[in-house]
Amino acid sequence: MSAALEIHGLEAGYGRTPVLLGIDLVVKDGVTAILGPSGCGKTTLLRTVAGFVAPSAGTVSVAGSEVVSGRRSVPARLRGLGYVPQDGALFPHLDVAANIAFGLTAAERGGSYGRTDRVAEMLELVELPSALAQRYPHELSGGQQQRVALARALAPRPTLVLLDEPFSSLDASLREDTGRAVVRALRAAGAAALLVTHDQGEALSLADQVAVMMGGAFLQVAPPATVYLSPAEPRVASFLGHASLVDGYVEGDAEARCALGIVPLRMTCEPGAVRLAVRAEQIQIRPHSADRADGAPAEVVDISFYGHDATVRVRLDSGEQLSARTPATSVPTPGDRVRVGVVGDVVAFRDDAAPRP
Amino acid sequence: MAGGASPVLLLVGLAVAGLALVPLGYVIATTAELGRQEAVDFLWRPRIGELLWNTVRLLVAGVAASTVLGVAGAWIVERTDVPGRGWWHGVLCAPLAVPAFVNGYGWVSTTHAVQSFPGAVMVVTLSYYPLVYLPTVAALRRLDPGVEEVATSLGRSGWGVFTRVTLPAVSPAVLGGALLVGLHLLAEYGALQLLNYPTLTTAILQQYATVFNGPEATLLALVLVTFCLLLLGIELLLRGRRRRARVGSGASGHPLRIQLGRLKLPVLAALTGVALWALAVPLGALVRWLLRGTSATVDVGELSAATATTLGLALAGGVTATVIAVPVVWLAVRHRGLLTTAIERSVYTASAMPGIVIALALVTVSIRVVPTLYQTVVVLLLGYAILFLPRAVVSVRSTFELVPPGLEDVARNLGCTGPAVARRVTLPLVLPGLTAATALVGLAVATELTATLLLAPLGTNTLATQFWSDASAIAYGAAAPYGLALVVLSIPSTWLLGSLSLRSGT
Repeated sequence: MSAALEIHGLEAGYGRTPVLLGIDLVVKDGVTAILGPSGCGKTTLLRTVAGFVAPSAGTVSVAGSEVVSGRRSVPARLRGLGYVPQDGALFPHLDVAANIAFGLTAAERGGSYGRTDRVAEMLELVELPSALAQRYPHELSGGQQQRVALARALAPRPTLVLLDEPFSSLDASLREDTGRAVVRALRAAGAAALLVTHDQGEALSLADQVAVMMGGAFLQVAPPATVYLSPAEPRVASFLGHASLVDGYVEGDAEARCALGIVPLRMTCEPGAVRLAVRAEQIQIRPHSADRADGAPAEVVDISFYGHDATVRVRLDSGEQLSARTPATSVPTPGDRVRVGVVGDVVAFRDDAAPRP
Repeated sequence: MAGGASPVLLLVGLAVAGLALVPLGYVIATTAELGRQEAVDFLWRPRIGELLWNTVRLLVAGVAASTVLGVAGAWIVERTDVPGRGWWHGVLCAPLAVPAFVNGYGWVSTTHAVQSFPGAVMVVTLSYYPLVYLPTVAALRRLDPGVEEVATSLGRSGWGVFTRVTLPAVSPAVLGGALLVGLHLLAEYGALQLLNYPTLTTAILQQYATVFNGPEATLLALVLVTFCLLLLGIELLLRGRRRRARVGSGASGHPLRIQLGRLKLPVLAALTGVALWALAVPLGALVRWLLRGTSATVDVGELSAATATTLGLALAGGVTATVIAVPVVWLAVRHRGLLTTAIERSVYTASAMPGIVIALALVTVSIRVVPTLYQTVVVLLLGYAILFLPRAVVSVRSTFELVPPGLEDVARNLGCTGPAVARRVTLPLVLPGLTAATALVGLAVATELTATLLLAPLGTNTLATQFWSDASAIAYGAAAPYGLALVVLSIPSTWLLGSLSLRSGT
């Protein structure tokens, strides 16, 4: 069976500004998240796949058939893709049933417009009560609107659904529930999905595959655990999970020396200067003591208290600044003298890859 | 109710509402005065039937043609890749700068073929379609492009997206524009008189001219107002069922533009045709008659006197309407309540009143109640105020809404008294908006014809009345310089409206 989506060497831009610099991506099935900061080109990529932006080079195939090949491309309306834009963009003049039935053919819609089995089926799929069918978009909550938008996209049975930051306008509590419901519905419908987001929690929790995008190119495409635990390069590490980058030197093949002492490496690395990505939750703040084994001496700079935990910024006596995440029960106060240690192994990047400032 | 508004302010507001309701009150009162049999006898005549038929068919055909032209133009400019979109937007707005009676003069002095029903429909369409075009362009700009993209991704062609998604979404704007066209057509006097196409409005003026203020003119005015109210009712009915709540804020992206391809040349040709018909013909006629100048050489003295009078009246009318609008808006925005909303609404009733009815009402009321004011500038200015109050209120309101009440609270918190808040915070912020409102109303006053003809004191000659007395006497050459001056005066407000419709996109 061919992949739901295959992209090779895709380039696009607005006017003379290049936005996509050669994108390669294969989506077999499940949810692939395109994760990146705003302005990295992720929405342009989605719109190019949808057919709203004309690429300047590359190919795009959906379910085995080529929709873009260089400058020739299939019009957006003939690509048979589901599309869910940022705010859902429900048709304000149609009720929920008519919105969902919009993409169905007259035959599928049956006699009474928009009141078919398919509409009821789709409402059930996105876990909405069938009583909503007669409501109008402005009578729905934000989360319900997004589910209806997904139902509308899934109704014509596309093999691939494109979601453009679909949860960004929802508030935090609703975002998680809606996100999970959307993924369940996609699975049940057997559709693959391309989810564009700048929220790493969303990408890591919902996707089967995460493509980290920066400056118009992918830095890493891998399952969520891999991009998080084994980032391919420092930018991925610092973007995902707020890792602090610390200079170090690899001595053995599984250890590096740095301001925090000797730390074990997750992957073997040739001896030499490296940068170490240390995640906030790996850094432990310990009370100040005379025992050097407790970690490097440091001073607390400031604290952000979140309730369930806190982020503590410390300055090592050797000069580096680090962020640590600590449990709410043991939060120091700014100015405290502490010792800082590392728990678990860290990822090392060869220093030549990213020049130091 | 009107929480915290000072009694003086409320009294002023009520007085303005009372003034705005004078025309409606006049129509109702005079109808009550007339004997039923008398009214039936007068209205039940073949002549009235002919007038009604003329008015209705002009209304239907003119509104339909203006709507089609306006929507098509807006769609071409906003949704296709036609070359020179900015330029075409300007061209499609430009006919607003040619007052309808000047347009009618341009056509009639070029060919007498327009003195017919199709001719009348064409001329009024060319004059009034921008009233549909402008709000439609603004609505298309505001429309979330995501909605159209989703429809495309669900397999709709360009035409399908337009009819099933775009048009329903912008229909309130289109409907509002069509209503405005309808009201203007019902109130139009100058153009239709020149085109020799009798309607209710032209008949009222003729009645008025022959028997001054007889019951016939009043009865016809009643019929005319009934038409206007019917039109408003139809619009409310149609709009009431539409749902147009924009859901979410929407991504501000660029809308998809239809590739015209082989249709590019025909579309360009059609746009050029509109430009020629709506602009080149009337302007060409003005220039031609000006150069030919057979009926008279340009009397510079008279022209500058009329210009001075016009500008003076425009300034006075603009200031009057704006100053009257401020308390109404202040009450409605800062002291929301049943009474203040009612005051604001009563102002809008005037927008359904044709200028001729307002003028008749003021003539009657001033003769009966304050005869000393009859035939004075005061009544003329009151007429302008009533006629253009809706416009003034709309633009004053939009400027006041830009001042968040929080700013005033902060000023009060910093120790300012009420008047000091107004002087140091509110006024500096709204002053540019008020100036714009004054200019907008003033320019409308400068090109107003119907009410001016009835209300201007004897010997007060404006550009419009001078143009009218020459043009209706077929002294086309003598009328030309006044016509050109009117067009020049209309250019600033046209430009303002054109650029405002584009700005509402972002």
